[in-house]
Amino acid sequence: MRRRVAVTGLGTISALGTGVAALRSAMAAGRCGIGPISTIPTDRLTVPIAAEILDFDPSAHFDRRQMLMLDRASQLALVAAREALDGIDLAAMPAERCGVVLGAAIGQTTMDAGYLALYGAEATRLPPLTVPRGMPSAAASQVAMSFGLHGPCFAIASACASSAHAIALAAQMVRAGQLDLAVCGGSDASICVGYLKAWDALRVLSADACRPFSRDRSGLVIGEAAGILVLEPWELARARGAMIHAEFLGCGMGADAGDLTAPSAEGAARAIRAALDDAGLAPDAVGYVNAHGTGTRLNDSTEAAALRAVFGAHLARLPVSSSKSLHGHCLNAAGGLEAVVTTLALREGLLPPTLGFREADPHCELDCVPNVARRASIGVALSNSFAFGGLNAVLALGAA
Amino acid sequence: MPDVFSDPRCAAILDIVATETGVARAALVPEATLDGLGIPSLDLIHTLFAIETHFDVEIPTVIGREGAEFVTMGDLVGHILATLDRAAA
Repeated sequence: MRRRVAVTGLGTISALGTGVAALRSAMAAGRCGIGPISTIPTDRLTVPIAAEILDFDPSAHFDRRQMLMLDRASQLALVAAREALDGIDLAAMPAERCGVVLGAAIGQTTMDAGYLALYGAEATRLPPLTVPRGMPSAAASQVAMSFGLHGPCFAIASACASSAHAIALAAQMVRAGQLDLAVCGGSDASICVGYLKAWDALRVLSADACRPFSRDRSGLVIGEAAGILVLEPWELARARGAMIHAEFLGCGMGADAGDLTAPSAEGAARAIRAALDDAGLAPDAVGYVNAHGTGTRLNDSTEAAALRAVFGAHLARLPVSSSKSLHGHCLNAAGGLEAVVTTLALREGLLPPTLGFREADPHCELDCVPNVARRASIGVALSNSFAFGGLNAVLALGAA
Repeated sequence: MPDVFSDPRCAAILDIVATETGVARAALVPEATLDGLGIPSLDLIHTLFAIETHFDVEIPTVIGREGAEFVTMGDLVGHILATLDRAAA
């Protein structure tokens, strides 16, 4: 069995705002969500910027009892899942045919606060729900519990490609007839002192801005977010009169099996080709690529080389932008958030810009939609995710 | 079982149980079972944490009964008082 797969729900929260409408308007305006860190103490951080969610009040979404159980990563996932499922009558669907596949988001703020209390303040005990709040499958469980979904539910770990792999696997399950509705994507809330210090030690964080593909790019900027898609079989979605935002066409996955942190152009190119093969598309059918585009020297030049290898002369006519320059690198949530961005690009004919672009880099010869959003009617778009550990996932989406 | 509920420290314990679980204070009698009171294990965990915080003491897990330590309110209060006694000794 190979069923067509429709994207029937979208939900998001990020530094660009709560909800798809806020994300869309930020994409159109080229508004940047990166700024000085204000939600945690910065005296021990050498890098002072991040893409924080500043207007989020958990108590407006959850009661006291729920909040005891929810790390911020689960809170963000639930807010986005509620938006994505809004208007879908779950009561009319068999609950065991509805599943959840999310990227595995460690409850970083819960663990960080716990260890700070334990080692810093010499607390003798930790809050009793530290384990179920911190576990990487917590957000997936919370979404299933919140909506009463009894189908397969789990979380997938592949570092910064986690939620892209989650969407890929969820789509395969819908395609294969294993699920009739999948809530997929991911969330991440890692802006805490311990984890930012860990990133700092890798020497890849930018201290001023995220400038993907620009010659003077200086590194990545961490963000927090959730990005959720709802996938359903095309025919069932049509039959129930669902709003279809886009079509999932295919995915390509693979491993560099090389360096732990340095990306491989061959590995990235293999994943892109695999996505095109899975979708049955020729390279010149692609009208837009949402790049992994972290803004590090190595990622961006390697990704450009991979795109050149796959698309050849077509690359001159192919816009490739990095929306991370707007919403930051949202790590475990990146693939989910960027799948929402890519879906909006298709649905709205609106390509998000690459912000912070100042000077072309001969190692990144791309049309990166510099600094200003662009109107373009496109039929097929790719979303790239290339993670530490050489774990690659590429999603192919088509206009509905 | 000695009448642990006559201990002067019991009032503070029962106040915390009532607050954390939402069960009426008057229903918290020694022979009442946690099941009968409808106190889920998650609420019991929070209650013990709040009591630990209030008395600044670590309440150890009852050896051999991990995950199902207390049947009645008497069991619960007795274990907490014994812990407080040990801490004061």
